[in-house]
Amino acid sequence: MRVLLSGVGGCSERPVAVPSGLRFKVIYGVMEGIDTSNWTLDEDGHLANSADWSPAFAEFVSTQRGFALTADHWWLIGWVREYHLKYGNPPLMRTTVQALREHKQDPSLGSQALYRLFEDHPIREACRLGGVPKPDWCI
Amino acid sequence: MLDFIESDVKKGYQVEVFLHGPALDRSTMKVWSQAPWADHKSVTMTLCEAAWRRLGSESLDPPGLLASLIQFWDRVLRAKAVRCVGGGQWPAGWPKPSASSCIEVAKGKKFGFVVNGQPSSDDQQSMIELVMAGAVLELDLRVAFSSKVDDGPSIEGLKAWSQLWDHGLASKIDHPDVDESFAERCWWVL
Repeated sequence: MRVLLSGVGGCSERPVAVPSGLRFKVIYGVMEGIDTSNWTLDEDGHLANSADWSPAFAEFVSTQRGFALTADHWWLIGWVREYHLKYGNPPLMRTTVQALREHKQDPSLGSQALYRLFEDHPIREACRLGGVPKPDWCI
Repeated sequence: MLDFIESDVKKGYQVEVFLHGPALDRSTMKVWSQAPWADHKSVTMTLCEAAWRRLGSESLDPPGLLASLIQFWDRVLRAKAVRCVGGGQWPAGWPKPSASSCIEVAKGKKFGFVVNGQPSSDDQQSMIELVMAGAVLELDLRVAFSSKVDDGPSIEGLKAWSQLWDHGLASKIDHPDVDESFAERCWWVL
């Protein structure tokens, strides 16, 4: 099995022992002195172990994708993490829009505001950066 | 349920069967596939995509169409009538919502879910997903718990349910008497 190891300085591949039948990616690199070698992703790009999450993980992933996290990104990541911790699953878009309106005290806000943060699947992306497992459902 | 379907097919109805959660396991699907109406052109069998994935059957051809729970609700809303089904028993002493247990959807597009006893965590999760998918479409949804706290869902289970009323996705009721639209609802029983 080949596992992608992608660091700030580029990507390389090396064999890693993983359970048969499973596909994992291991992010590896150094960002501002942070050793990222413990971050193991599942095949959908979510942290395999949520307990490994730290804000540095979100910073690292966003940097690799070429964008900087703003205060609104951090709010969404925090909201998704808090919701998952409380209820065991990520929030619906509808619920998140309500929370955003309350957070910004702006009842005119809609889902567009979330899509401006992440162009594609904002809740799923916030889960990914927030160390929340990929939802195992089809809602 | 098999009898209901056979009866509806004989009446000439177009029937769509949607299997979700605990209804979707290999032994149940075998029963469905061997039913006398299984290949009848007026019967369509659809499987919940996530439930099928959880079976680890992705490499197999599904014995029906795959669809999301949002698509399920869309089909329910377009259906003329819905059977009130579910794995659980209707709570003793509660009025039956309909003598025929078949509700015309057009009456009000109101739906209800009864949690009776102590369902398994998998069963609860599948029901919560069903309710949340309905909430995406902003349907009028009620959840009723027939048991006292000690006999009902676990604390962990209640935590997952509570997101529905904490965030206005569905209303919680403790007895059908407090639901003025009880008789108009399609009820599912867990």
